[in-house]
Amino acid sequence: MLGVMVDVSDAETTSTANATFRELSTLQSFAKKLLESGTVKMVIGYSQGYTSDRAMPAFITDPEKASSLIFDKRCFHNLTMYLKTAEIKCAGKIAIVVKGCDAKALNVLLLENQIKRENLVILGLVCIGVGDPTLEKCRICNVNTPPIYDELFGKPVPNKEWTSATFTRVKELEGKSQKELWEFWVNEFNRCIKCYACREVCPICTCTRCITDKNQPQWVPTSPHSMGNFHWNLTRAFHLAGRCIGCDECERSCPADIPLSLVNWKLIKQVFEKYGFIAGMSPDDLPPMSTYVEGEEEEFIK
Amino acid sequence: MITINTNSLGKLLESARSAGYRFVAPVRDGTISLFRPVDRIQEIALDLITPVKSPKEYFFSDHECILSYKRSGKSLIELSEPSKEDYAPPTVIFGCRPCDAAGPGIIREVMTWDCDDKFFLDRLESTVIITIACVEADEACYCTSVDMAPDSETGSDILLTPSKDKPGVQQEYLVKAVTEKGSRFIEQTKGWSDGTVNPAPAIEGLKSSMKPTFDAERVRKWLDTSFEDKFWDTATLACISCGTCTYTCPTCHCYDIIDEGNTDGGKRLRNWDACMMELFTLHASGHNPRPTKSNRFRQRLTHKFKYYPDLFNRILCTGCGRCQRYCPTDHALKNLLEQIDKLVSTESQAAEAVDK
Repeated sequence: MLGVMVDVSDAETTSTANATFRELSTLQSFAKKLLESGTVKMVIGYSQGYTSDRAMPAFITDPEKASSLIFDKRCFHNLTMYLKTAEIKCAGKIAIVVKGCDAKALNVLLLENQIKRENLVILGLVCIGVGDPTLEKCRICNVNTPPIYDELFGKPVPNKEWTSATFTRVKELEGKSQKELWEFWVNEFNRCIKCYACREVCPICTCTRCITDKNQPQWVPTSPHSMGNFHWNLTRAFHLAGRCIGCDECERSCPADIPLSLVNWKLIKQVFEKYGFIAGMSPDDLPPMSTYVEGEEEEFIK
Repeated sequence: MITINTNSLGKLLESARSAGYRFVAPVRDGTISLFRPVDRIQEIALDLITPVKSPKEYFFSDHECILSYKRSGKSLIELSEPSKEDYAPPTVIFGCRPCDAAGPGIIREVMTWDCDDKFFLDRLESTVIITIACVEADEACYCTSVDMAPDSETGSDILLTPSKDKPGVQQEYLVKAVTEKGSRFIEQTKGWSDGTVNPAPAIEGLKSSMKPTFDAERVRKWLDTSFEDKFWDTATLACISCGTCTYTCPTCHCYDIIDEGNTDGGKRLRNWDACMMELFTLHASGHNPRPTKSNRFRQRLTHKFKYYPDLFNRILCTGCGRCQRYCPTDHALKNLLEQIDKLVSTESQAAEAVDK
C-alpha cells in the first residue's frame, strides 16, 4: 500500500517542483478577505525569505500584503509553534496556514488545552511534501490532507495508512547492536551546543519553564558535555513520547545537524505499535502516555 | 613577499606541529563543518565560505572548568585551578576567514575591561591565527557593511591572499605577516615557503562586488532614540528565540557560571549563554526585564551596534553572516539592520518634505 502511495506522491511532487501551489491565489484572496472583514487580526503563513532560496514565516495584518503569501517545497516551517509565543497569544483571533503535519500539532495543542479553537481560523493545505529531495517525513506522510481545517486549499488526496513497515529508517537503526547504538548516539549528541533551537522551534514543547531551565536544583546539567547533552536530548525525547507529531522541525533547525528525527520517529513507532496511537489525528483522542484507564493491563508492575 | 602554494600547505602543517603547535583548521564532519585539530592537510576543507561553528571556542570555550574542589579530611577543602598548559596549548588556527579572525580581537576589549579574563587572554597569546582572504561570498555575508573586507587583516597574525578567484582550487598564496607574532612564527617554522614571486591577488572582484547594504553609523544614531519603537515588536515576530545565532557568532561572548558536583568534590564551570534565551535575564524574584523575544532581539542588535561601539568604539559584529545562514526561520540581524537603515532614510526624507 505504501509503495503505491509513494508513486502518487512522486508524480505530484514532480508536477509541483517548479510550479507554485495551484491554489495559491485562492489562499491569498481568502486571507485578504479574512483581514478585510476583521474576522482575524493576523494571518500567519509563508512568504519569500530574506535569502533568495529560502521561505520564511510571514505575519500579515495588512490585507494588501496577503498577496505576498507563498506555498512551495521550501515551506518547511511548522508555523503552529508561534501559537505558544506571548506575542501571538495576545494577538486576538488569527488565521494560520498549516500543512498536514502542522495540523497534527494543532490537534495536540487543542487536546492539551494550549490553544482556543474559537481563536483560530485554520487554513489547511493539501501538501504532497516539502524539500528537495522530498523529506523522509513526507515520504511516509499519512496526512497529505490535513486532519483538521476550516478551509481547505488544494484537491484532497487520500491519506496513506501506516503499518509497522512504514518506519524504515528507524528499523535500520534498530538493527544495530547496543554497543553500536551507544557509539552512534555518543557521536551524534557530542555535537550538541545546547542552543535549544530544538525546543524553541517545537510546537509541542509548551512548558512555560522547561525542566532544563529549572535550577533549584539543576535537574538537567546545562553543560554541553557528553552527560549534559545525553541528559537534555533524552529528557526531551521522554517528554515528547506520544505527543511528537513528527514534523522534524527540531532536526531541520539543529545547527549541529543531530538526526533528531530518528529519536522522534522511534517514539512515534513505539507508541504506534504498542497503543495503535498516532498523535495529532484528532483533538479528542486520549493520549496514551497521560491517560489512566481502569482495568488496563499493567504487566510491568510486578 | 613570500608565497606558499596549495601543495606546500602540508609542509606548513608539519613544521607547525614539529614546532609544538596544535594545528586547528576547518573540517567537514558529516553534514556540518567546524574548526578541529587536524593531523593531515587532506582533512582540511578549504572551499568553505565559513564553517558552521566559528573558531571562537578556541579562545572562549563553550564549556570549561575554571576551578575544582575536593574534600580532604573532615573540614578541609582543596581547591585547584586548571593549568595553563592544559587550557592554552600553543595552537595554530589555520584557514580562518577575516571575519572569524577579527572576532577574538574584538571580544578582547570586554575580556580586559573591568578585569582580565586569564583563560581568554592566555589562549589568545598562545594562538597564531593564519587567515585566508575570501574569493567567494554568499548572500548572508556582509563584512563590508561593518568596516571589514574580504581581505581584512584585523585579528590575523598571518594573512594568505589567494591568486585565483575560485575557492578550493590549486592556489598560490601571498603570505603576509601581520603581527610580530606572525613574523616569529614564520621564522620559527620556515621551510614551507615557495619563494618570493608575487602572484597577483585575486580578491578585487569580490571586494568591488560586495557593497555595504546598510550604514552602521546611521543605525547607531537611530538606536539612541528608538528603545521603545514599535519596530521591534513587528520586526522580530519570526524569531524563535533560540541560541543558534549567538552560539555560531564569532563575537557573542556571554557566559554562565555553574557548579557541578557534591560535598566530596566537583567543578565550577563556565558555559556559553545567550541573551536570546528567556532564562538569561530571569531574576530570582521571578521578574524578567526582557520577557519577550522582541526585547531580547533588541538587546542583541543594540549590544552589537550601539552599546559595544559606545564603550569600545568597535562594532561587535564581523559580518560573517552565520546568524542568517543558520537561522531556522531566515530571520537575521543583517535584515533588521537594513530595515532600520531604510526606516531612517524614509523618516529623514519625510522630514525634509515637511521642511519644504
